[in-house]
Amino acid sequence: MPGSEVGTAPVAAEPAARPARDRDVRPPVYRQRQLHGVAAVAALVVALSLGVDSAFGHGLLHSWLIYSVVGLGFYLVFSLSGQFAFSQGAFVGLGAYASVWASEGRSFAWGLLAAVVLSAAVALAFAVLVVRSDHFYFAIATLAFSHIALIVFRELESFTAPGGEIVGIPKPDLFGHRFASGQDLALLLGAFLVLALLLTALVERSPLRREAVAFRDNRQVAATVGVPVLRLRLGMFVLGSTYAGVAGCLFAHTSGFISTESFALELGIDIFLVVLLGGAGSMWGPVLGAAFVVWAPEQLRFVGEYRALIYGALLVAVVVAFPGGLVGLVEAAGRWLRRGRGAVRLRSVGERA
Amino acid sequence: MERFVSLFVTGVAQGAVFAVVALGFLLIHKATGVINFAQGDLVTLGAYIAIWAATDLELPLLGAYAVAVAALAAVGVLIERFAYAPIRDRSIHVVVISTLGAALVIRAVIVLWRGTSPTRLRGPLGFEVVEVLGARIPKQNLLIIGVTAVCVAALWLLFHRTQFGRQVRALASDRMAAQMQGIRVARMSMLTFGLAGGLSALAGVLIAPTRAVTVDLGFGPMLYAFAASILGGMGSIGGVVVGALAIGLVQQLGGGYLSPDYAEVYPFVLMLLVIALRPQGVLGSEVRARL
Amino acid sequence: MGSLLALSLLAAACGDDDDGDDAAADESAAGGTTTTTAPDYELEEPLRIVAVISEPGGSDPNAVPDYVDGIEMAIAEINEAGGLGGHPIEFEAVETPAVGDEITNSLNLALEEDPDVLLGPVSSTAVLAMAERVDAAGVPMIHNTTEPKVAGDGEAGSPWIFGNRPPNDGAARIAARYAVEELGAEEIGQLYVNTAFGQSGNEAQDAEIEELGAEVAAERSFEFNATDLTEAVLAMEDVDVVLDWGTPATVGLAVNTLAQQGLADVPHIGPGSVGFSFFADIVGDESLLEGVLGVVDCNPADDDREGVEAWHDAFVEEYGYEPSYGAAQMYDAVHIVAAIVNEAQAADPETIRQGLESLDGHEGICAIYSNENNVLQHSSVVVRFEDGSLVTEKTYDDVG
Repeated sequence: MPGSEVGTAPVAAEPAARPARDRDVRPPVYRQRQLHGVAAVAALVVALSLGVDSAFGHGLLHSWLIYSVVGLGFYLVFSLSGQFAFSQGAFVGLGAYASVWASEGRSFAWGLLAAVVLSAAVALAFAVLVVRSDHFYFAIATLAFSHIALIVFRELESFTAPGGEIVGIPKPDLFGHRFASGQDLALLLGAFLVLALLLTALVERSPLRREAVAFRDNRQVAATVGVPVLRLRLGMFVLGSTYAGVAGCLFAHTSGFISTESFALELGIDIFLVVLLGGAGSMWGPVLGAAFVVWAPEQLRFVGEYRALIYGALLVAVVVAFPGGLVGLVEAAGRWLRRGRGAVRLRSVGERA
Repeated sequence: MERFVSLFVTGVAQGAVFAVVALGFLLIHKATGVINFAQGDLVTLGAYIAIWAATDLELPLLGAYAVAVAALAAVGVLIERFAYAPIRDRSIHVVVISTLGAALVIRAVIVLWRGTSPTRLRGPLGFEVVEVLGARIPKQNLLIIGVTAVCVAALWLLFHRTQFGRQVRALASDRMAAQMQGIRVARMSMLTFGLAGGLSALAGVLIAPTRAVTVDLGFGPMLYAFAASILGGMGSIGGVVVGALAIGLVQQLGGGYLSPDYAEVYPFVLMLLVIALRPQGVLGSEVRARL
Repeated sequence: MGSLLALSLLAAACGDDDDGDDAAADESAAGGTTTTTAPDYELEEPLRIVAVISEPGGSDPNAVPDYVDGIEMAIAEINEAGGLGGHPIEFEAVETPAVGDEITNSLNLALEEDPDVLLGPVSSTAVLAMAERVDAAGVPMIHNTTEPKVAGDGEAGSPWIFGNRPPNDGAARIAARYAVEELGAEEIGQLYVNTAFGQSGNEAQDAEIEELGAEVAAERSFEFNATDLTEAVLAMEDVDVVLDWGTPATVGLAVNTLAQQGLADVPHIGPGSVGFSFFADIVGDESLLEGVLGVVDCNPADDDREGVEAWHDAFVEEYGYEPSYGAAQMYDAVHIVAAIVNEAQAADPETIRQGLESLDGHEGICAIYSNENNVLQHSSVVVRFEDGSLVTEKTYDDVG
């Protein structure tokens, strides 16, 4: 539902006439136009939350917004600092359980705070533990981490609940207002997405981004030219994991029910798809990818038992045809429209060697 | 004592299966530099094809196993042709999603073809056991260990004593140079995918008789095979085998003598420790994975 | 890597089990126990039943066709006899995963179908995820789970939500009681899966074992996807009976491992999943089933109440497999709703809710249903295998 509209937002921006200082790391369409994009997403969320009138529609809208926040977190970890982490799902779970635990009998704000603090602290501890590991090992370490986290959620009943199942989680309340209706929730989640986008845009516009990309693409060289490699890497992982924790807190209080299954490795892989499908080279990728991951399977219900088969094939087709993800597709379409001719060479936004 | 022997043999047998899967990873990784995320589902598909050949075609059990291994070698080649070769020069992300997609398609095909109800593959030895030092050891476990040993030996010979092996090792150590020396990269990658497919099927038919067969059959072994590759440093056959045996033993003995509630956690804790303390793997010298 | 599992979660698929589409089930078959001969009245609108159930080919690896087949058999019968209030019953099935985000989407889609009553889901996680919304929507639901949290006094209970399975803790207690009272067990071994289902079953058994003066000699839990139980089974060496509250796959695995460790003759009492036809497939060797008992909700294959055998035979004829208790319960659920509609001569959600609330002594295939604490069934049956089919050992009518 919200899919394609979202994507047009960043692309609608005209190419900016700025010095080509960082042409290599950023395609021109995105240069310094993030704030327009954020405003467009905000407008879209408001329009959708007012326009959608079915519970089904609101459900998809909520999922899209939450997945976008987690996806943005993974964008920081993966796209900007090149760390292949399957742990996002576990951090969503950590945020969810922490927030339910801390907000019991108190306000939602306490839950949110606990989610932020705990996911940041655990992410930092984990990252320090495996700080010496490289690409593939780091990925596997995060896999091990998610596996252990799930079992801990199930066994640590004083923190979670027997079997990790919690029902009747109250809807979020902030500033004396309880966000109970589908529309209210969509607006609240939208506000969090906008915050997450603004923070990401801040990172994008700061020297941090260039340093992170330099580090991602060549660690040794980055280190020799004075990029604070370690601080960057830890910082991006902690920030991205905290996004996931916040999303977990939002998920718990939106759905009202959590169980450990919700945070299994499946979620980590969904998030991975959100970023890769959307386009790993742009902060708008996760927003688009989340829309696809939430929306496409529902649209495929009509094919019945062939749904898995078709979804899988679709996935491969999108990735193979548009290496830059959906953002790449939208970008190409935008260029095509502007130039008024068909022969556009697809440039891969998200690729790196 | 009986208890220790029992747990030890079970651990070695489980580790042996992880080793077979991990060797598949290793082969493909050496020849192409990528990790095939469809490996787990190839294990599952191998078991289902054996079940089909044994029940629907009514082949004798060993014939059914042979059919499964041959079919999976072909599937491995198909995956290479359709999910890897066209995008070989693309970024690693594209390759990862592509193998993920291939895995999804395989899984969907299994569900459409055989349904979701758990089922079973007979083992050639049924539920027979032998007594070893007072412990009752299922013969299937000994079979798993034996077949794995033969398989590891054969692979070692293949790696170190044949032209094919030399070429794979050349590719692994310097891709570019090997290519310029005239090694036919496309053919090598087809061969290794095929071989890895056959190994997956072997793991599938070995492990299936010890448990209920569902579409998740290969998932656990794949996860532990990753862990084994890490412990072994993703470098040599010996390293991977030792890593896999360590995983199996830690799981069984940890479950038996520490706390059984956390048996599933031990291999992962071990893995985390290894990554934290010795990131190049216990037996490895260098990390060269493209991921 | 985990991908596959993961991706398959997305892989929900709508039912492929339509082999019994317009199930022309023999009406005569079930005439005995159900009262659905249509009285002469006119409903303004037809009764709309919507199922939210995981189906084979979908995302739930444990999905079986029994539930939807049972529903469709009952609806076909009623419609062939003229329907309800002059209209055939309308039926839609929305495929529902057992876990995950999509459960809510499925429920929302089901609610858009404008149902008078919802049937399903069949997984605890799914019913917990749905409870709040069902309550808010004001549509009665008959779910087929043993989840205690959605019972009348449960944390997620609602006047709109009813379950037609006996509670899990009650059935678990029956296993312990049967072991002590009928098998004379003194030293009891416990296996259970470390999910809410296994944990609560295990606790209930502990309490029952203590009350009856027996003793827990060994206890082991494992992950729901455990693939090796050697260690756990070795711990069961000296027990009189093994109580096993695991998943179908782990119970099957435990049966095989017990046999390999020379413990095949220790009685082994499993939960309801033993009553599903695929269970026998998981256990490799039919002779190993001899020592297995199960606490199932009912056993349509061996029940001498009037009409049950005829129903069982008609089901096998129509669908080609042994109906589980789940098939019988969902079949019964349709007839319960039909009886309520006929009685009240109205088919709106509130009427059905009231009818379920005051349900008392409805004779079905699986059980005699009465409402208590929003749980409709209160009986369990202990069964064992004989030549591969289930034989009733003892029926308990006071399960929770």
